[in-house]
Amino acid sequence: MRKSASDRVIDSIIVFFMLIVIVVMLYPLWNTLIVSFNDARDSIKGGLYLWPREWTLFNYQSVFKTEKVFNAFLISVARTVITTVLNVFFSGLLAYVLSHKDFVFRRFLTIFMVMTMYINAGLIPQYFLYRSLGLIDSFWVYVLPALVGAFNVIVIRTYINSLPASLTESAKIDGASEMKIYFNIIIPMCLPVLATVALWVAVGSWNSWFDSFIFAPKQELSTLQYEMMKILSSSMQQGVRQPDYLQQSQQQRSMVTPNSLRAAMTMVATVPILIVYPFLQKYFVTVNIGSVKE
Amino acid sequence: MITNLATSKATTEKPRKEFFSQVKKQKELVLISLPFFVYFFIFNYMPLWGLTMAFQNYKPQLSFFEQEWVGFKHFQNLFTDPDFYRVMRNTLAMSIINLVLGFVTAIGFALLLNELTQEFYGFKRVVQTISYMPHFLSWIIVCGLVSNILAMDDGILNEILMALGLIKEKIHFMGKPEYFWWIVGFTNVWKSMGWNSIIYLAAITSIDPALYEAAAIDGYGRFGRMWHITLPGIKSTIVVLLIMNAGWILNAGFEIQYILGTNGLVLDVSETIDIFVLKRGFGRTSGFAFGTAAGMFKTVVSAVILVLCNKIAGWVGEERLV
Amino acid sequence: MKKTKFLALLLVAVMVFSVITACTKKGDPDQPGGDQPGGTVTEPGGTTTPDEKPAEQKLEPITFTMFVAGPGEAPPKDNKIVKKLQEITGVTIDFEFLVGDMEQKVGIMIASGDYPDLIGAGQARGRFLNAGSFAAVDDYLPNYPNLWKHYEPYLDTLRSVSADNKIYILDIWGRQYRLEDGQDDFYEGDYNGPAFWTQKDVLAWDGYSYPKTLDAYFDLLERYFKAHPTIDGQPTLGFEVHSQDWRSFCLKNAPQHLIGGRNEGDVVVHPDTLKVEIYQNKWYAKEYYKKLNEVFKKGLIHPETFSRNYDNYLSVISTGRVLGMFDQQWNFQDGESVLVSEGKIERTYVPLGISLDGSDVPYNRVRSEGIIGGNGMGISVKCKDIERALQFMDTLLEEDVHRLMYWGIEGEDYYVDENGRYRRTPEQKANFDNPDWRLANSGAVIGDQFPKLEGRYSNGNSCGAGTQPEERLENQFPYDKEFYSKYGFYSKSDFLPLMDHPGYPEVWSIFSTMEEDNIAKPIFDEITDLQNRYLPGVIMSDNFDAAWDEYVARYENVNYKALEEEIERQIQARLTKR
Repeated sequence: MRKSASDRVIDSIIVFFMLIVIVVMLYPLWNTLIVSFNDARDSIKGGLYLWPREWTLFNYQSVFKTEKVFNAFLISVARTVITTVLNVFFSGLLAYVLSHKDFVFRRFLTIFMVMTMYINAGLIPQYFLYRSLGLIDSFWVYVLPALVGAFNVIVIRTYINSLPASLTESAKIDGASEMKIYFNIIIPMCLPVLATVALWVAVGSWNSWFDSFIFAPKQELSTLQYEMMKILSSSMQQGVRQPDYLQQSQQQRSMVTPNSLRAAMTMVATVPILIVYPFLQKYFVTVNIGSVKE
Repeated sequence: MITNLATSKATTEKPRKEFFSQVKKQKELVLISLPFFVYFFIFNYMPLWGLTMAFQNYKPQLSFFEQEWVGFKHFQNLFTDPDFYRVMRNTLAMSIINLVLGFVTAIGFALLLNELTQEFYGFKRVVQTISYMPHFLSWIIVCGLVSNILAMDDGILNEILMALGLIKEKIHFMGKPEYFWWIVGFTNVWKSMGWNSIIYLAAITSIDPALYEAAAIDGYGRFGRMWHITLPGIKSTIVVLLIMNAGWILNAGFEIQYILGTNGLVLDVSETIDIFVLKRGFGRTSGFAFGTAAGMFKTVVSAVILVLCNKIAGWVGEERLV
Repeated sequence: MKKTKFLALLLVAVMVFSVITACTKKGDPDQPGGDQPGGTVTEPGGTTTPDEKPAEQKLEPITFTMFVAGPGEAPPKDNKIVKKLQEITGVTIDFEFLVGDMEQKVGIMIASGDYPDLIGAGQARGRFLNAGSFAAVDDYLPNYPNLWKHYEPYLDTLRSVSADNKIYILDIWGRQYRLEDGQDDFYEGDYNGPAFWTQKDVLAWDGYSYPKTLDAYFDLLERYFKAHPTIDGQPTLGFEVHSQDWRSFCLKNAPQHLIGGRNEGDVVVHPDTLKVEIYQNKWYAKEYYKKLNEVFKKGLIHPETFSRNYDNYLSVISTGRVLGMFDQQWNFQDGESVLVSEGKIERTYVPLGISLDGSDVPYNRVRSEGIIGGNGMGISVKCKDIERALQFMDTLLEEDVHRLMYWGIEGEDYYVDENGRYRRTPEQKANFDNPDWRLANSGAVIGDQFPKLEGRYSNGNSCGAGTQPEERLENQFPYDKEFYSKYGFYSKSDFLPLMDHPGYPEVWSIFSTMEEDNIAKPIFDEITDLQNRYLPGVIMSDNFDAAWDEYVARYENVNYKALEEEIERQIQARLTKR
């Protein structure tokens, strides 16, 4: 498989462009990493670009100072895994149902579902609903409202529609049930889009703190992100709310600022989800076969 | 597929009897979809009674029957506010910039990434992994970096432009209204290009490799194949995402404008409808009701745009949402 | 946005309390109840509660849930003081501090009626009060001797906050205990409110001068600026005008002080007639902005000052190259603390009281008026045991218990010297200065949310480690001692004269206790918006008079008279109810 000279040139240009992308896209995270390892007071001065000036682990110590973080981490993992598995399964199932162009309720159900993306009743009625369902201060408030997502359904449906119809036809002729087709044919064929949706759901579930704040503020159900938000918000208090007994001494104390804490928290909260990524990535970053066959 | 579509149209027009026989024939599909219908109804439609707040002088401490009804007062306040048209202009402008820049860059990036051949497989995965990282940073971190880069004091962009001799004196990027929308647009690209490209990479996997072979035999070059095979292969995904995103045209963002745009020099161009609604409602009981009214307005706009886009997509023979 | 705005109000509230320095004549000179019969640590139940409840029942463990409508952090369960308090009272407090948007959280709490036992009202007091979330405690208070002693002089003030004239919110700050032995002033904390904060080196360079007028002030900055074009190798910044979001008080609030006003916020109150006027369109505001425009053209104000975000603002302060700014010290102290940690004491700031006519003006250095009402916590209507909760609060006001919370355990966290003074070793101080140590080992995390003693204990020691005068003087840097002595001063507070409290709360705080749908609120928002939108442009304008006229003309469309009248009414209501 030989490449022409022009192919080589194009490759070089693309690689060069991608190298720029790497630098530009990596820099924000790199900068956050630097700030997280730099002394908070020193960071106020600004001008931190490539390397920490004054190394410290203090920002991380402030994040991990209580045992609460560990429990919160477990809750976060649990909610993320359960929500992701269920959401991907159900969104895929509904997408498969809606991919039947002759399904009698297709149009109605699609409209019914799509509108959920654009209507918002507000928090108060939502709270009443969850309370009547017994979801307040319950773990399931993290899962049940996210069982299926309209956006995900549409995206998966589009993918299924782009697959050759012949894939399912023979199974249908053999008299396979719809559920069987979904399990045996659709899921394996749709792995790339299901992986994408899994990533969306997992990241969304992992990053969410608002549902803890409103619906499950109980300490036992606190998530990693909610614990982070708590630490962050109390650090904002520290900077400004100086009761008399602190005023004198604040100049000598080791200090955390919201910015430095935020940096450390971002690293703590991002690394676990970044680790998940390569496992999903293989499904959608594939070998480009097309352009090498001559 | 086209025949399928035709038959489905035909079925809906057939008499009732046929409809029931169709339901019977598809009873498995009907059974599967029933729980979904119930689910959406409970979680998304039952709380809709809350929309009545838009017509009330809503006070949380009162029960539904004790609320005072005020008709369209909140809508009237919304539409007659002298600032309403300004914030609508800002919202639409930034939204359209975001939509266009966002789609073009994410699709372009996915196509280029796809062009990296087998020998670059590892590199490709690295690039892709890194490109989506900014998505995990909060707006406040990203905006902090943006204002450092664009600063006059020792911002790197001004330094570069000066060093290249492109400008004679430093530009006050963050203080000039004419730059603001574009700063928002490109910051959005920075934060979400990689993340948004993932779905296109997934869509590309569904393209039949045989098509590339055929195209190569027909003498298409790389750009020819990109244009004639890859792009049409992901077109339906693009169109569907475009329609859904167009529905959110009034959600131009909140945090980025709020963090970067709260100084008096750019306030006129930075405020979006979400910021406006919060400002008008802050600290007042009417905040709940006013916010609900604005939300209803946005839903109506979304619905209209969805219907329009869906129609247009149908006319030009593209994948439709509904 | 709501959150930041809320924080804004909170900050301002906090600021006021940190400048509280003394007590008005109304203050009760009696000592708090440490030596009251029955009010000892070991038997808190004793005589402090109504007789019908037997004492042993009091120690039965009980957990109260508490929501605090403000930031904070719950202490870990093994905090040694929290444990001791539990032993003494049997009470555990299960805190929930506000993390996200207050309006949403509080709105849901009210709509659902799912209240915790106790509520730290914070800036949500208006919402909670309107919704009837609190239980009235009027009938209970006399049964609790410490609470009664604490609040008795202020009952009318506490009542004035509510529409039906009952006590729902118990202030947690403001009650000052004084000994009237002439020593009380030593316990004043450092001033951290609004002023023209000016670098010490600028004043020292000018022979320790004190410019009194706007002209003299900017003339000094200009001379120094010209003589020192760079500081530590970076270009000097003459005068910073921070104008981001709610922190734009740095941009807007100076004119009220230039004519001698207190920090009311957006209006000036005439001291004799209590007439109110908004001032951003008045002649004295024009004088100020005209001056800023003039020095802007001279390069003393950098255009980027208007678009700098808060982090960048702190960053330029921390480099020591900003000569002066109108601000409140708590707002820039993070930047200043960098200068302190690097030993650049000459680059830190003192407050100057600049006026238009050169007379002495106190800015916001005001004697405390004690409890102002509405600033504290309440017992919710869903509280499982109101009497037990009040009994707990009553116990916290005992000197021994209070000392446990704010000084710690004797011998461990502080020691008593031969004169009976409470002192701390450097290690004990260092411990306390570490926020994480404090969270795990100090009772202040509890005490901060409940009524507390301020000022001095009956034995003359300060009600809290940081205000003990010996410690404060020991903490002063040699540079500062010398600098202050050149003026004949002892601390930076001395740069401003002390004024008597005018007898009504500052107007910005009236705003936060006003009922939600008050007509003044939208007008106030409109004016705020006008100022934020136009003033930076006015200062940067090539043609000041034209820009000013255009800006002022905008006020014609705003019904600000109604705002002024409403605030006058509010001030009167609060005056007469006292």
